[in-house]
Amino acid sequence: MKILIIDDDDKIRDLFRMWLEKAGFEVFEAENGKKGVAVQQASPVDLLICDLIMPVQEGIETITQFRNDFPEIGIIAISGGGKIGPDSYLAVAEHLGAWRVFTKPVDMPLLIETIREWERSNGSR
Amino acid sequence: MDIKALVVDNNPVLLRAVAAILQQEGCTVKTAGTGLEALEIADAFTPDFVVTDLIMPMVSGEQLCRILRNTKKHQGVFIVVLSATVLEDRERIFREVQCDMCIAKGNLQEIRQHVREALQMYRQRSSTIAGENQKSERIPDGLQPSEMTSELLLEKRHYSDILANLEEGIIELNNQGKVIAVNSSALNILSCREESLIGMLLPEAVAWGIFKKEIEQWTDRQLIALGMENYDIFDDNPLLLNDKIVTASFLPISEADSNFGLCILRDISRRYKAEKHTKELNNALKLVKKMDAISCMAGGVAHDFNNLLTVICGNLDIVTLYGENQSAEERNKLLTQARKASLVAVDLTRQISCFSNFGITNREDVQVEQLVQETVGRFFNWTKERYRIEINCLERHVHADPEELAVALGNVLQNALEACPDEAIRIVVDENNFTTPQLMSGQFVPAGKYVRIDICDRGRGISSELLFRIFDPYYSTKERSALKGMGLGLTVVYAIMRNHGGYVVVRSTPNFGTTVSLYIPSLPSEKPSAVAVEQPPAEDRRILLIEPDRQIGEIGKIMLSHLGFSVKVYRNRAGAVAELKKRKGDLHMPRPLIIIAVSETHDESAAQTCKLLHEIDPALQIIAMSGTVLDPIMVNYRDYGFVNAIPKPFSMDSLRHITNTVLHS
Repeated sequence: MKILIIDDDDKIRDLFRMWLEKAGFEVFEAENGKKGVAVQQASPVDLLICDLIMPVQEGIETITQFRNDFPEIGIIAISGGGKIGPDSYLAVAEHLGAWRVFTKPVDMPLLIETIREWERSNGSR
Repeated sequence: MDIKALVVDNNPVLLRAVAAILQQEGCTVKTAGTGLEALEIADAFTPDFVVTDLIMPMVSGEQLCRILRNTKKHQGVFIVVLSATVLEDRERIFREVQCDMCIAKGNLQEIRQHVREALQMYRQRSSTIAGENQKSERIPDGLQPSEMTSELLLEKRHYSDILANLEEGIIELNNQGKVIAVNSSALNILSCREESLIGMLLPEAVAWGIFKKEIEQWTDRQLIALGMENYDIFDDNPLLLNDKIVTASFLPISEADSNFGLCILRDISRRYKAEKHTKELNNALKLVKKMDAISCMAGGVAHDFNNLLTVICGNLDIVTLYGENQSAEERNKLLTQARKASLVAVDLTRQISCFSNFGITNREDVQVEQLVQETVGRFFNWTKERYRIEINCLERHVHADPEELAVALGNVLQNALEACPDEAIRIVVDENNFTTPQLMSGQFVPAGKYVRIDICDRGRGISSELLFRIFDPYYSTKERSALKGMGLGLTVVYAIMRNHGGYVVVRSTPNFGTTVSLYIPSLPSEKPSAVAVEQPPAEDRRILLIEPDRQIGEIGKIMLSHLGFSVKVYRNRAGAVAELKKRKGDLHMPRPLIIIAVSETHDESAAQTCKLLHEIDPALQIIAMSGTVLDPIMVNYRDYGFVNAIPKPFSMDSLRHITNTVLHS
C-alpha cells in the first residue's frame, strides 16, 4: 500500500517514513499541500497522512482538495495544534472528510494499527 | 419696652434719617450699609425690628429678609421693607419677599409717618402675640409707578431667573472672600441652605477637604490681595462633596471701582461614572486582547512542542519496539534524532522563560559601541556591504547581560534582513535624555537617560494596525514553519528590553521601511563602575512603597532590597503618613524615596496621597507607578507633584534606572 505523508517538518517526515517502511508500506512525502497534490498526480497513493498547520498550503485546504479530486483516498489528519488548539482544527478536518484524526505527539504504533484497519476494510489497489 | 432696631440702606442720607426717626421713638438703633453688614450685626445684636432697603450691593434686602426668616434666632423679627421699587414690584414683593410691611419711599415726612405706623403695628403684634403675619403696605398718596424702574426690575428678574436655572452652581464672593449670593444649583450641589452659607468665608463655607489650603491661598492672594489669578479643580482630581463628584473654578473679577469673586461648581458625577464605566469596558477589552495573545502563545508553544515530542517519542518507540533487531549504528541514529529534538525543546523553553524573567540575573558593565560592532559583524559574517554602523555617541555604557542584548539585537537584525534582503541594514547608536516621559508608537518610555540602538531597514514595512500586535508571542506576519520558536522573535526582544529596564519602539511606514529602536538605560558616564552605582551608603537609601497589591509589594521589596535600599511596603497611605510623621520628629533619619502605585481599584487617589505626603514634608521625592501608561498621572506626573513615573510591570533594571535618575538629578 502506498502512503503519502505531508508535513512541513522534515524530522517528522523522516520519523513517519521510518515507521511506515518498517510496517511494509511504500512512502511518498511532501513538505506542503501544493507539493503533495503534485506528488499524488504523478503517482497516486492509497492513503494520505496530512499535517494541518503548514506554510504555502495548509492542511484544511489540502484535505478539501484531496477529498474532491481523489475521492477514493483515505485521509488521516494530524495536528500539534495552533492558535485555536488541536481539537478544533481536527474536528474541522474530520468534518471535511478525514477518516481518522491524531493529535501530536502521535502514538506511532496506534497509527500503524489504524492504517492496517483501513487497509483491511478498503484493500490495497 | 426697649426695642432694638436695625436699619439697612446703602444710601447714607436715608440711613441716618430713618435711624433718627427710630431713635426719637425710643428705639436702640444700629445701622448697616449692606445686607452682609446687617447679617453680621444681627448676629450679636438680635434686633426686634428691621427696616431694610431692597436693592443693595453685597447681599440684597430680599436675601436679607429670607435669611433672617430662615434663621431660628431671628425668626420672630419684624421686617419692614423700605424701597423705591415697592410700587413697581408690588405683586412680586407681596408674593416672594418675606416681610411684615413694605413701604414705598416717599418724602421724609411720609417716611416718618409710615415708619411710626410700622412701629405701632409691631408693638400691637408683640402685645397680642399675633399668630399669622399679615403683610401690609404703605404707599404715599399720588405716587406714580416709574416706567424706567419697572423695566430695570424686569431685566434684573430676567438675569436672576437665568442664574437660578443655570446647571452650574454659582457662589458670589465679596472682595473679602465672604459669600454674598448663591444660586439654587450651588445649594443643590453643596446640599445646604442659603442661610448657612451667606456671610461665611469661602474656605469655611464648604467642606473642601484636601483643597482647603489651596482655596485659602486663592482667597487671600488672588481675591483679597488682588493677585487676580484663577484657580481650578479639574476632573482628573476632582472634589468629593458628599456623594457628588465636582469640579470647580475660582475667579476674581474686577468691576469699575471694586472687585468680587465667583466660585463656579459643576457636578460631574454622572459623566464621571459614565467614564468610569467606559474605563471598565476598556479594561475588559484589554483583558480579552491579553487572553487572545496568551491563547495565541499557548497554541504556538503547544504546536512547537507537540512536533518535537512526536519526533522524540516516535524515535524512542522505534528503539523500544525494534531495538533488539537493530544494529548499534541504527539505534544510535534514532537516539541522536530524539536527543537533537530534545535540545531544540530546551532552547525553546529558554526563549519562553525569557518572558517570566525576574531580572535577578547576570549584569555587567557593557560598552555599547563594542557590543553592537561585534554582534552586527558576526550576524552578517563580517560582510561589510550588508550593513552600516553609525556611532553618534562614544564610550556609552549600560548595565546589562551582554548575551541577552546580543540575542535581542540578533532577533531584530533577522527581521530586518528578512524584510529587506537586498539592501544594507543601517544600525545607529545614539543617546537620548528625556526630561519628560515619551509615548512613542504606543510604548511608554519614562523620563531618563538612554542609549539608543536603531536598526533601520528599507523593506516592505508594517501597517499601523499590525504595529500594535507585533510583540504578541507567536503573532507573526511570516507564515508558520518548521522553524521552532518562529514568531517569538520580537516578543523575546521586548522581554529582554523590559528586563533591562529598557524599551523597544517600532516605527514603520508601509513600503518605506521599518526602524526598531532599542532604548537601554544609560549608566551615569562619570561613574562607569556598576558597583559604585549599586551600593552608595546604605543609610541614605530608604524607600517607602505604597502598593495595595500584596504580591506586587513583596516583589517590589525584594527587587529594591537587592538594589541596596532598605524598603518598607505599605498597602495604603496611612502607614506611610505615620512613618513620615515619625521621621519629622527625628531629623537624623534620612529622607526616604517614595513610590506610590496608581491603582484604579484602590480607593485612595495617588495624586491625593502625593499631596498629603508633601504637606508633611515638601522636599519628599515621590515616584508614580502604574500599569496604565496612558493615565494622566503617568504622562503629566510633574503636574501632580511626582518626580518621575515608572510603568508596570517593573523589573530590577527599570527600578534601578528610575531610582538612579531621581537620586542623581
